[in-house]
Amino acid sequence: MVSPAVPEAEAVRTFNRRLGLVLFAIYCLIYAGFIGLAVLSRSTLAMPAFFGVNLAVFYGVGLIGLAGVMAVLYLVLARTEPEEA
Amino acid sequence: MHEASTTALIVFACFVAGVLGLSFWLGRKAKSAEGYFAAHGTVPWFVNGIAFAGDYLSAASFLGICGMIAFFGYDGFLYSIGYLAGWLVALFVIAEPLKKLGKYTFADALDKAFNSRGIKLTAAISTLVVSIFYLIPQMVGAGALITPLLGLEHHWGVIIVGTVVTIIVATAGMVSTTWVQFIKGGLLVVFCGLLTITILARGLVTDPYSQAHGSGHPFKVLPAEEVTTGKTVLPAEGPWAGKPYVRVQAADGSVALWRQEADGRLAELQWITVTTAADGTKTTVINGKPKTEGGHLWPVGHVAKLPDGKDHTGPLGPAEFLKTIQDSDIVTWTKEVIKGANGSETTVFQPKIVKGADLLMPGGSPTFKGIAGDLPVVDPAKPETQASYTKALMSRLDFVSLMLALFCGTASLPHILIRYYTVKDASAARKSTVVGIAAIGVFYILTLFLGLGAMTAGTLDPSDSNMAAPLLAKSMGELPFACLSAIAFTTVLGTVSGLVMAASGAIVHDLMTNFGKMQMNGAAQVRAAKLAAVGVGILAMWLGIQFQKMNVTFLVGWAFNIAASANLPALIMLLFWSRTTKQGITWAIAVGLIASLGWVLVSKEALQNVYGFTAPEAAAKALVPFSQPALITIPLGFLVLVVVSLMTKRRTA
Repeated sequence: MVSPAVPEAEAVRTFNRRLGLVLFAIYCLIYAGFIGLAVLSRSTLAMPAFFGVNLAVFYGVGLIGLAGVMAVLYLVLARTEPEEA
Repeated sequence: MHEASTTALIVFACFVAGVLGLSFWLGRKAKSAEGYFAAHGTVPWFVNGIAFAGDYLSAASFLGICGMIAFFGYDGFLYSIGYLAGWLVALFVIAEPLKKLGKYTFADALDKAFNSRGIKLTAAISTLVVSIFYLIPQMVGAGALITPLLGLEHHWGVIIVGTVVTIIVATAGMVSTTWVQFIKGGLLVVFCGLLTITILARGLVTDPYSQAHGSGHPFKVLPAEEVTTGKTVLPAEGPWAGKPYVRVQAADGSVALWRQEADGRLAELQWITVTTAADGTKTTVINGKPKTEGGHLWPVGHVAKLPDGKDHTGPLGPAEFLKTIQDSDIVTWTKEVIKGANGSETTVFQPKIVKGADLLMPGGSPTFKGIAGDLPVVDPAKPETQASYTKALMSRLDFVSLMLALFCGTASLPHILIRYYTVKDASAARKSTVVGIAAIGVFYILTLFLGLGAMTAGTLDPSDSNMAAPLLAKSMGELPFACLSAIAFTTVLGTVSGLVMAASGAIVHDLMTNFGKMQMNGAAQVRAAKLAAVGVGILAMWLGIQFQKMNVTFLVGWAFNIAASANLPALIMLLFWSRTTKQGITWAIAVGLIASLGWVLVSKEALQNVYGFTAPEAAAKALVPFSQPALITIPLGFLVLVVVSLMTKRRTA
């Protein structure tokens, strides 16, 4: 009973790990973009973005909101290991 | 200006009694080591997720960020962004593997494949150092909170928190800690949501003083002769020389402070003078009147001009609220400290009208002012332009380094990591992290509205940014103030209990049992952990009293830098690089810990805030080019791990 579950469990772990790393890389890029704008192009952050509110606020709130969306996405897409089911 | 409130006292007492009662009740169930350290691994994932929020949303998050936004605008929100982003590192990279590897502590996970005493020792020391650095600001925050809430001295606040937390942890360990954190996390998010709805419903007004509490003070700007006629203008000598201030003494001896304006008129200011006598006795005079005779600061902070010349807006939606703030002029208050020769220290508070558009941009606070403005252009013919460029560049690197530390630090905090052992499996760890991210994310978005609401509600104490959120609640009534203050207190309790748990686990499980090879059964381990919790609690109380004057946010930043530098490289490489060796992990933790700790201790911030140098002296004596080490010491940890692992035997496990 254990032997068929082990390779499957390993496959699930590998899938979840890759999924996590892809989502992590995407969020890293967006977070780095925010820091880059803050130190190199403040004028861009001052531009109106959403309902006339500037990009700094929109980007900041967006980073927090995006974290929630990506977390839920990971929850939906990640697989559960056989022994946990 | 803060007076002890009976309602606050009753609500506070009910909270403490409830929390202690819960602890004793749950304490019956935690007799084994697994129950004490990991709540038997049976905490439901939803409860664990909210407990993550309760564990993580510390006094610095709640009081510090709201206060920073209320005083400086967007800069406080940068912490919200960084703190929340760090949770994705935990979810996507750390959570599931860590749950599989560990048992009770962070060291368990690192050491599982190696059984190395070096890893046990360095990981335990790292846990203790990070936990203690994180404990100090929590205890200082507790003292700061108790003083206005109950009218007690700072050290009593620290002692009350320390005692209650020690009882919580010593009675039932992780079981009671989890439930205290669950209650606190839930209450904090729900109550802050209600406050935000109230802020939006009442909108913005140009005269919040009469609406909120009827005790507003009209700060006057008058012709000079109107202020000085029949009074004595004190000479601008000593520390007052060259300052734009005019001290006017009335016939009864009281002194008022005014600022000379460009048009010749005088603007009324607020001020506090603390004089220390030779025997150490302190006398405090506020706005020219001794504190003991009722001298107090007036509440401040309001909209000077709304768009279209309105005096009120009515209810606003979230985006409308932010847009209206952006298009308004806001009166904020800055302070200047003037040291007298006779041991006196005067803090002058003065109003400044700031464009809302500037307040909603990064770079408005002293912490981040270095990123305001463009990078200077270097002119080879003018050496001073090179110096300006270097200074601006270092300020930007300091900012990037702090944001990196916040991003990487969350997933490296031992008191957060141990919460993964309280759920049954990796799937539950994943689900509880998502719940935690949702609760924490909602809270951090609310901080923007709470902070801006406090900035414009006419309730700020210009001398104490930590009280911005509680005082905002006070403008809505005595009960909201009492509830918010009690929740803030449980905020401190929740985080401190998590830290004491992490530290006592490191002492007993990692150092005594695993590293020291002391033979203890489960019951003996629990007894030892309870004793360790009492010891850590006493140490925390002592440190909270010693570091009373330290900046809370600054200390939290240190803890994140040290945690990220010491722990993250080892955790990441263990999970993703099969050639990692026990020596590589041991050296990476040791070098990351020592390098980051050493860096902060010789930085400008430490020289100024810890060793008492003036800002120019600290800048001249600092041994490192910027204050936040993460940008250098995290890569250093990775480099050390890779080099040492390549030089030592490959692991076989």
